[in-house]
Amino acid sequence: VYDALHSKRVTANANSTLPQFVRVHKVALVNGDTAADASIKLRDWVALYQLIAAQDETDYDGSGSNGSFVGGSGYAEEDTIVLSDGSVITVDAVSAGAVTEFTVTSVGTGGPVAAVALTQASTSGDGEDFTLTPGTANLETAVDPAVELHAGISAPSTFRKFSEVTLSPPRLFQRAVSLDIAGTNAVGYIYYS
Amino acid sequence: MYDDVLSLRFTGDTNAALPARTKVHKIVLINGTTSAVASIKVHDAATVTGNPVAEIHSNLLTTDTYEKYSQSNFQSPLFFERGVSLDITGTSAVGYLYYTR
Repeated sequence: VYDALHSKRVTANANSTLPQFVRVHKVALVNGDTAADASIKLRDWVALYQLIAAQDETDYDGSGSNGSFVGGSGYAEEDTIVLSDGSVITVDAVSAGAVTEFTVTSVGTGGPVAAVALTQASTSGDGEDFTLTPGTANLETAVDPAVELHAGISAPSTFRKFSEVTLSPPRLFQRAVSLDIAGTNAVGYIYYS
Repeated sequence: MYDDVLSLRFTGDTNAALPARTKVHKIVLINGTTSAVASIKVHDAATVTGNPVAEIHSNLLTTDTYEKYSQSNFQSPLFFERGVSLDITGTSAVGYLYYTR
């Protein structure tokens, strides 16, 4: 027998929307537009996305869905830069102290978001003001979903307004519940203890 | 284990239909006209305000026919700290809440 449930209503992607050691008993999805599918995915991790390891400055050249970077000043080759999400950058080349070439040498768990700049948290050298702004081509989901629910079709060319999945026994999220929700005006409910 | 459930039948929006610290085990929606959608939104509040904590909708079954009967179960019940207020839509829609205190 589990404790009575609490409800978490969600309308947008979220990192760590619920803390670790939460048991999810049920997920419900309300589709805001039955002309298209909607979905919700729950991941047992503190963040939805992470940087892609081993990418370099050519992946951050601002073209297409690539992100961009600002070289800052005062850096030297082989400096390491810890970014605000915990990822580590190694400086491969500089021009007058500004980073021109780099490699993402390890990825953090701080939940980077496309088009939002990561700033320097610390560095092994003396440089400052390097920033890295990932694009969608620089991000990957940190872990596969533990729970996934779709609206699905209920009639020809029409998707279900309401869908739900019950987990009995519940699914234990050991690290956190991070979620992505897709669909026009979609609303999700997570019932947990 | 839980006590036997009680049921509450409702046909219109209701503030404070059930008091604080109620546990809801099941929500049932009966659509009075299957030619249109019906829904129930349940709020953890003394009035129908803010965002609901649970909702249920009748789904489209065929091109122009909606489900007559929809339900949502909470095998561990959903706890309402502040009270249960109800928002029901749809022609002649009837809702049932199965609950314990």
